[in-house]
Amino acid sequence: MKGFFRALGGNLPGNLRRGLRPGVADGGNSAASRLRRSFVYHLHPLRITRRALRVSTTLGLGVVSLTAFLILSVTGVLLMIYYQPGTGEAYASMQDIQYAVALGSFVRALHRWAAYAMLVSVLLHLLRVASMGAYRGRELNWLVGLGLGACVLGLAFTGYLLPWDQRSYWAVRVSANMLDSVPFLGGAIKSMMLGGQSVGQSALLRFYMLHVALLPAGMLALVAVHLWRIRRDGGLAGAPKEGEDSELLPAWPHLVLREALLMLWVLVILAAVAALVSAPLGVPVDVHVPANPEKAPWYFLWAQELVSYSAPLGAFVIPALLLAGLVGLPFLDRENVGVGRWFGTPACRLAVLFSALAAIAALGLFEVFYMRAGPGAFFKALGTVWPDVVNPGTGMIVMALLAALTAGIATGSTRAAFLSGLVVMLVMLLGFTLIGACRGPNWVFYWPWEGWPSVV
Amino acid sequence: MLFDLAKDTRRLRVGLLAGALFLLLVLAWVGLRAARTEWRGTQAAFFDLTGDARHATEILQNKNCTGQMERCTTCHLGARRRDLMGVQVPKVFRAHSRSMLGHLERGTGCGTCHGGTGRALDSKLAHAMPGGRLRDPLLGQPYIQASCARCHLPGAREGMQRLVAGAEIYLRLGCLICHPLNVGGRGSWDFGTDLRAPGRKSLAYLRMSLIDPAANFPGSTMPSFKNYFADDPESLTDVLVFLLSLEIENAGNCPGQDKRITGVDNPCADCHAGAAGRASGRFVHKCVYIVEHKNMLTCAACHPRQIPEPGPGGGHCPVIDRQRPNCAVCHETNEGSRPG
Repeated sequence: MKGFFRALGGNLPGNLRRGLRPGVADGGNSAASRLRRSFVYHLHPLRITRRALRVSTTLGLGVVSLTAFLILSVTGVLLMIYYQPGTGEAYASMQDIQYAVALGSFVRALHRWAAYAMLVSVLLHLLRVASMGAYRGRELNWLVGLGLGACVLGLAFTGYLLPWDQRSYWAVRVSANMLDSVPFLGGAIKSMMLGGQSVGQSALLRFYMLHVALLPAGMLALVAVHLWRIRRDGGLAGAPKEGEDSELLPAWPHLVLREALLMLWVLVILAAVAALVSAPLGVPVDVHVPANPEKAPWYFLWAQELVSYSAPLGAFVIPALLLAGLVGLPFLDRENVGVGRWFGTPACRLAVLFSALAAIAALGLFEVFYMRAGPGAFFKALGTVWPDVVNPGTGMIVMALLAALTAGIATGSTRAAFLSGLVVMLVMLLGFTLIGACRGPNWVFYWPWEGWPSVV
Repeated sequence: MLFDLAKDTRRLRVGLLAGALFLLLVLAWVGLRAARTEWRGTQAAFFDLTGDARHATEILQNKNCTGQMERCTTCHLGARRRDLMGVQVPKVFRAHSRSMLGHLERGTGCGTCHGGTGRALDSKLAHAMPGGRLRDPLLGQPYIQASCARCHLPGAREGMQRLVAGAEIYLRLGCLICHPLNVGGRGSWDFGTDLRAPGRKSLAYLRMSLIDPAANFPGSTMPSFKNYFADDPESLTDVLVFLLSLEIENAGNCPGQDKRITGVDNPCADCHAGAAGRASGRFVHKCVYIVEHKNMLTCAACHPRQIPEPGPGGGHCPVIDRQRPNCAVCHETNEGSRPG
């Protein structure tokens, strides 16, 4: 038997064992040689700083995202066994998964909640990196990360259509129609995405292809590059604080087991949530009658809320501004001070705090004047072009620019300026998401404790 | 402070162990729950009750004549058991009433008449409309008569009295003026909501629409029929049966359907044909508004197009001018406010 394996490629069982289990000594040599030979542990340097072990350094958000991606891959493959991407069969196959397949509703719920966990953790991961200026000297990996973020949004969006229930169909129809407001390319992107002008069989098939093949493959490739670049760029960004214990610790087991622990508990929590709360499956698609209100998926609600103020603004101007700002961030910020610290320097921290408070106050003011008083009466006197120019969305841009300018002048730091602007945008977009969630029939605002009038 | 390597390793291992234990617990709970589903208990109870030889518990499913998969008989094991007729058993095991048992045996299935979510195995979900909308429960008497219209002409078979009565009231009250039911297969009427449009409304909503339309749709111009139904609540139920029948689709290729004279989707033909199988205009001018106004109105006021000769092959039904809601000829209406 041993001869067979030797003929096959050297000492295969031994190679396998060493490849997966670094604890196995190889002829009594050092930890270094073990790690160098191992597949799982080539991701980490042999020795890491104590700072890398601290929870507050990264909050483990990258590991949480990766775990969610792994859970999604496994549950997604399981769901593919039963799901049928046809307009006639999709909903029925979802019902089968939900009602009749053993553990089907659990796997589906796990897939849904892991997707939401990934959306949230990826956003927080981006914010963590931005707030620490950890993109300094890592421009490529920042861009790869943005590509991953786009993949995550794309996966969430394409997956939303697949149940083919009333909610998913109309959410995608609403989102696809937002593309009409994108100048020049909007129409082309929309027809390429839907395979026509409306959400039908070809749209479902394309979304399915994107969701199970193209986007996961792209994501896998980008994840590999992302992780590899972290190592190439020298691990976590930022030097140890002065006076901080700069003692180096072995990555095994202190870092590796920490990551395993985090992954395990993410799985435990998501599994518990999935066991308690099953994923919703709405009424079957009715292409003639939309529900009222018809909402985009929650992670695009801010865009829909902005579109309700002004279509080109919400569908194009603000997303494009956000994207341009994020892409340009590492190329414009050339400062090395405060890298690897939450919100950089104390001055920067103060600027961000003030910006956030100002954004909250502004949000309240906008909404009191614009929403409660009724924009219609306000703009009737100004003419029809004004709502596109004067509304809470443009107010947000002005606020962000003001915050960036003020912070930039006060602190003399580009990063403080950028972070202040970004924080204003994020706080207000979060506000718009909440407001969008409170929209009732005919897109009228209702407080959560107010009932909606019956419209069905 | 020095980093205690051994202590840290120990703590990590304990955390991993605890996580693994919790994961096992959650998965065990999920597995147990999956193994103890409601329908398994129901099947066991049925075999205990009837003394049938127990066989392995299994999901029973079949396609009904509309092509929908149903799993109702997984629990309703007694539905087709003639030997259980007249025997006191729990409701879930009761045999189906004799009059409709023939339907069941010809493959009509359950959901074709009763609605519900046939694919679901949980009783709450199965007895609700898809998506778990419980306000539209399974159709029972008298509303189940609405389902008869999926295959049969009103009045063509026994047991459809309420549907026929509802259709007559619909015409008598003049509902057809604003809600013309896509007469002749044309596009939807501009003035009132197209009642045949897909998109199921709940019974409660339909009832409210008749009694207080503005409660459902603020600014609705539809008159309230509260007073009419106050004297005769039974007739309200009749109209609801008829309205419900409009929203339920025709039942595909089910066997034993009555022949319709001008095509499957022409509700005019359903009523005008009646049992006689001939078109006639007798119902339309029972409409109270037209009777009230008959001294002022000529036919052309409402039907500007030429009225076709009655009889077979007489062309289209007389059509009301869509561009000009007929009431607006005399009454000022609030243009721009369209209910629905």
